[in-house]
Amino acid sequence: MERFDLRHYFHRVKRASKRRSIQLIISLSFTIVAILSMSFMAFAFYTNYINTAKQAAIDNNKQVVDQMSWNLNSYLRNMMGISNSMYYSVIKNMDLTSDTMTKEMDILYEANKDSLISIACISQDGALISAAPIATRKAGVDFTEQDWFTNTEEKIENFHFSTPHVQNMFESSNYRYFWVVSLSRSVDLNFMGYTRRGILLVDMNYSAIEQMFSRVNERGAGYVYLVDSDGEIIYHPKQKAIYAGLVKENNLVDVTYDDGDYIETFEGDKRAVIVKTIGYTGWKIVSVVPVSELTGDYNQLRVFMLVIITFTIFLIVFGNVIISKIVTDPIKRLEASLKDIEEGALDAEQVYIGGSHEIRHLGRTIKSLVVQMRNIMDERVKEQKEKRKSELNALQAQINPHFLYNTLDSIVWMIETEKYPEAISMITSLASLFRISLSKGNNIITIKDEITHAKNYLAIQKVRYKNKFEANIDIDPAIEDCITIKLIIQPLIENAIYHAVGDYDDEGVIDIVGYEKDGDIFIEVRDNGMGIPPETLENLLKDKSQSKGKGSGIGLWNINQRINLYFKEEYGLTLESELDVGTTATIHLPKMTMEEYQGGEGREK
Amino acid sequence: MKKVSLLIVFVLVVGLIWGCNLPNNDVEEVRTIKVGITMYNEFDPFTEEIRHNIENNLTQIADRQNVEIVTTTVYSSQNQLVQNDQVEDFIEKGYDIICVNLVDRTDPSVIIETAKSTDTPIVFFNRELVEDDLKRFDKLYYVGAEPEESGKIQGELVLSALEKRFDEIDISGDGVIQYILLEGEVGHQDAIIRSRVSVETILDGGIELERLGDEIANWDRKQAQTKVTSLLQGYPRQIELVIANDDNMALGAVDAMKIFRVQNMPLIVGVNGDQEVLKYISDGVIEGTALNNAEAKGRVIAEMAYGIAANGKVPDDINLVDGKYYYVPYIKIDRSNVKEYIEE
Amino acid sequence: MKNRKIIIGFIIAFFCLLLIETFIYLTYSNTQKDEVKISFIVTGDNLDEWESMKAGAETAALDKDVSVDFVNVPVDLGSEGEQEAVLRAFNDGADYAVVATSDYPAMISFINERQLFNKVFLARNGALNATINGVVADDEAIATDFSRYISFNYNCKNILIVSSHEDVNVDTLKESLIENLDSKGIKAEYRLMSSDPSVIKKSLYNIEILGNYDGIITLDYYTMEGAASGKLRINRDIKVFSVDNSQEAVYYLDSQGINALAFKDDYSMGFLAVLQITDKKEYGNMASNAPLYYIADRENMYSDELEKVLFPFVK
Repeated sequence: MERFDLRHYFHRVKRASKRRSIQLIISLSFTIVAILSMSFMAFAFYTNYINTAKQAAIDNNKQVVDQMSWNLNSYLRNMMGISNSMYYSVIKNMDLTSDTMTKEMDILYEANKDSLISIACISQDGALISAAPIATRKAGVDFTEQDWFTNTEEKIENFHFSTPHVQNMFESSNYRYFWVVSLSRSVDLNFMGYTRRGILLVDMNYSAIEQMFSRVNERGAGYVYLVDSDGEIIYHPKQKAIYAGLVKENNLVDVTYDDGDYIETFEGDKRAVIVKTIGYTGWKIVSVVPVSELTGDYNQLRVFMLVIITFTIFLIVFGNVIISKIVTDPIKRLEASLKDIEEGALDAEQVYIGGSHEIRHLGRTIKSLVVQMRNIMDERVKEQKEKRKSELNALQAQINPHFLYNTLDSIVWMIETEKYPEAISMITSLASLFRISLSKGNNIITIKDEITHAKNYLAIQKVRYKNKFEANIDIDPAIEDCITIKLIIQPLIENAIYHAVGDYDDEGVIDIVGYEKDGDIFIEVRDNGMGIPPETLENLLKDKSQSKGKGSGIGLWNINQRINLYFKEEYGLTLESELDVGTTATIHLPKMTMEEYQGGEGREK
Repeated sequence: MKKVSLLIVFVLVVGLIWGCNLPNNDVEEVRTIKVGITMYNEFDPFTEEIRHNIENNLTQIADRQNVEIVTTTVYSSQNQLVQNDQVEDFIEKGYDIICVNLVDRTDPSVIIETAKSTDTPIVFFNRELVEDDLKRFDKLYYVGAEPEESGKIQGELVLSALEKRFDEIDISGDGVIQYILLEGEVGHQDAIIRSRVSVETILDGGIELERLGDEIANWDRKQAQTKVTSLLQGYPRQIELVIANDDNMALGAVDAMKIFRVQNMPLIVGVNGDQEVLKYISDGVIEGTALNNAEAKGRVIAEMAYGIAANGKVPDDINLVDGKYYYVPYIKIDRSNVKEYIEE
Repeated sequence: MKNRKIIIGFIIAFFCLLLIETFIYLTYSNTQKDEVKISFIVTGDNLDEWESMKAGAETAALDKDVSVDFVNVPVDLGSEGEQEAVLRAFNDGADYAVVATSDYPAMISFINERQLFNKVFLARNGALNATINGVVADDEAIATDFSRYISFNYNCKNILIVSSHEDVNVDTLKESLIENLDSKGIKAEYRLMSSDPSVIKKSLYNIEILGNYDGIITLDYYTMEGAASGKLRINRDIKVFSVDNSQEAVYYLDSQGINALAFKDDYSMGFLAVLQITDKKEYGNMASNAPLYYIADRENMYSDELEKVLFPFVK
């Protein structure tokens, strides 16, 4: 269950991480790597340091123990020396039947008073031969019952050391009892040539040993104690408490260790134990230091390390965030700037260029791409427009063949009737019409030219229609120099004649008005014909493919399209019509002189 | 694939670390065994004989086993501190095994500790250290002889002589044998035990003894001569028996007697089996001796040293007591069998 | 702009961290535990008498953060002197006081009055089943064991129990001794002696000469000394039994001035007195199985067990 949860969580994190920004990825991964390596390093250093320190502490204790063993050894050797000199220089040469060794014993005792309690020589049957400093045997004491007495006979060539005990052989003064360690050896006693075995006993002052140890034990951390080869405690700072059962010691285990240092667990405490054997006696000095004491002083270090690590991690996180920010910010900004372009606005100026070399390069590349694309697109649009313009212009430029035929027919008729002046006027008008129509191929001409063209056309049509209509042209002279698109009025007039006058019996009136309003130019062509039905009117300016009128619809749509191609959308052609009243077609053009137009300034596209 | 490469890296790293920790145990083609010998004193004929035997045996072993054995012998001039330095020096120079004839048998601590810290085996000989010391390190061995036996042999020699010619020996004719004791070094286990056991054996044989002197002559012929001379000044005719802890001192006694022109040579017994003493035995000047088999000691020490150094263990045919002690038995030599031991 | 905000945030966080860490660092580097100071207030003109208890207390304090000091109140000052010493110890910065009181009821009422229940502990002297915590040898058990020992080993018929003063311990001891000896068919009676040592000696000598009693049980030091020296000088046949823990008593036991000694183990009491303050759990384990008294006679006084109790290590 938990495993599942974990995996689930892991997947979530993974998914989330995929969405993360570069900055997060960089700073996160840097941080993780840094923290891991930091922690590893800190851990390695820490454990190494602790171990070294521990070892140093153990070594230090070892030195103390070595020193102790040296002291104790020299003390014991001193005692053995006393025993030796007592035996070899005194007892051996003595005939005990006549001589007494008391004087020599006293001298030896006095010389070593601090470390000795007593010296005694006892014969094999337990008789006290001599003793110093007190030679009165306590009532009821039997030497042969004492431990040292029996031990000595075991290996006669060696010295024997006892465990500490209260010396209870001699009368004591001041209610004092002394703790001693007995050093005994087997000796030969000479009674007038007869040899008897005896025992030479040197009782070492236990407090001499105790002092040696207690000085060391006052140091604090841990303690040192002494056991004999059977593990029995000779000295321990808590000796009495151990005997009373108040404190326990691992002496029986410690005595089995060889010299060296060990870590053991005793009563739940881990402790470092150093064991050192004293020569000859087999005694062992055991130094015990709780492991917690060895490392106790390093709490501070631990805290210090923790502080340093947290600081460093903090700085690393901070640094990583800053660095990743510096690295990724330009990328982010570049990305943001590309968003608009993605949405279609090919504005090269918006592309962000900055940051590192690579990113600047990237930005510049994108920018040049955008510029190129933009150019290509503009060109395409222009091309298309030109194409349309020329198409439409060409369409417009087509002179209705009917018109030409009828006009020429009229001229022929005039010449036949010998109305030459009229015929000349007619031909002139036609010529003028064509000239403007061509107008050097320019599609933009002045309103004056366009009106002239319209006039010529009207003049011809008037002849043709035998003045069946009346045409009034009223153009504001102020706008005569402004430009217009070629051949846009004439189709409207044609349309007006066609619709309004052609089938009409009454005299038709066509008004052509040009004026300026709100900075724009409006040219209206009004007729008083029968008007156009609204449904037809709606379709007139729509796509030519849909308008199926008498062909004039194409003309109107064409006009509107052309105006739109040359100028902004707001300009164009509008139609208003009321049945039986008339129709008004209004051309809306920007007010612009020829110079302005050619200078490119204005409202054209 | 990833796992495989990880594994490879792991193996490489582990291998590297392991490789670093491996000691460079270049196996030598011909193994050289270095044996160090340190003697307490160069003027002790008996220990010199043991040394001589050790060296001879080692050379023989080297020929037999086709190995090179380098033996170095140093002398400590009766100074334990000098000996400690010598042992440390041996260990520093990478000796495989060290044979130590201790100066002070009660003070081998430094040697044991040094040996233990470098895991160098040590064969002690002729001066027995206490069991507590010998137990401190499992590569410590002792080769010697049981001194009780020699004391007993001395006692028996005296007893058998007394049995045959008590009256001749008992110069004073008081039925009590007056004797002097020439002891070896202070504290030496052999000296202490021989002195005691020999006297006790004679006493147990129902002989009454009176000690005229008990002198320490430190295994030395001259010292023994001096001591005996001074005793002779006190007891010019009374000495009926001389028990010497070893043959050197027995010879010293003989020297003194000769110089003092003692008319009735007392009964003299020694220990060791010195060639000069053997001659005296055949001449009847010295009653007998307990052969402290220096040759056997030397052979055992050499074999042990080689076995431990070459194979890491004591040869199987040497049976150790408690895995540490080897005691060479004594042989009683008196006039009856002295011929077998005299080297021409 | 955004970066700046982040940097400022970081710097603020950095300083916060710095503050926190400094605080932690300082608190951790000064983690020296406060030492517990325990004052032992003991009555007696001679501090040597308390050497064993002191050794025990010092041993218990050895590897703990505890310091122990002993304050000696002269006998003349009595219970007021003791109480004053307790208050002075607290003034001097002691955390706890352990009192071996010479006047148990006075001390109890003092503690109750001052509400010092968890501050003042009793040792050695006092009643066992007290409301105040204390390390006290069980007097009734001593009396029982001692009576059994006497009736088993000695053929006494008529025993005099003596002491030079009366306090809660002496009362308990004498009552249970009389009761226990009675049940074993031994006639026992109690007599309170004068407080003057020489007078005690004299009257005890008289008692021993008269021989009306074949045994004397002494309950304190002066009567012990009188009876023991009397036995040595005047009447070697009389049996002297003592409840005491002085070195002199041990000496008399050794020199046969005393036949048997019920010895209260001051060392263990000192040790446990400290332990009950520093380590209650450990104390609970120990107190139940640590014997606080021993019965010693000449035969067993040098045994491994008793040797260490009876003879203090000489300094």
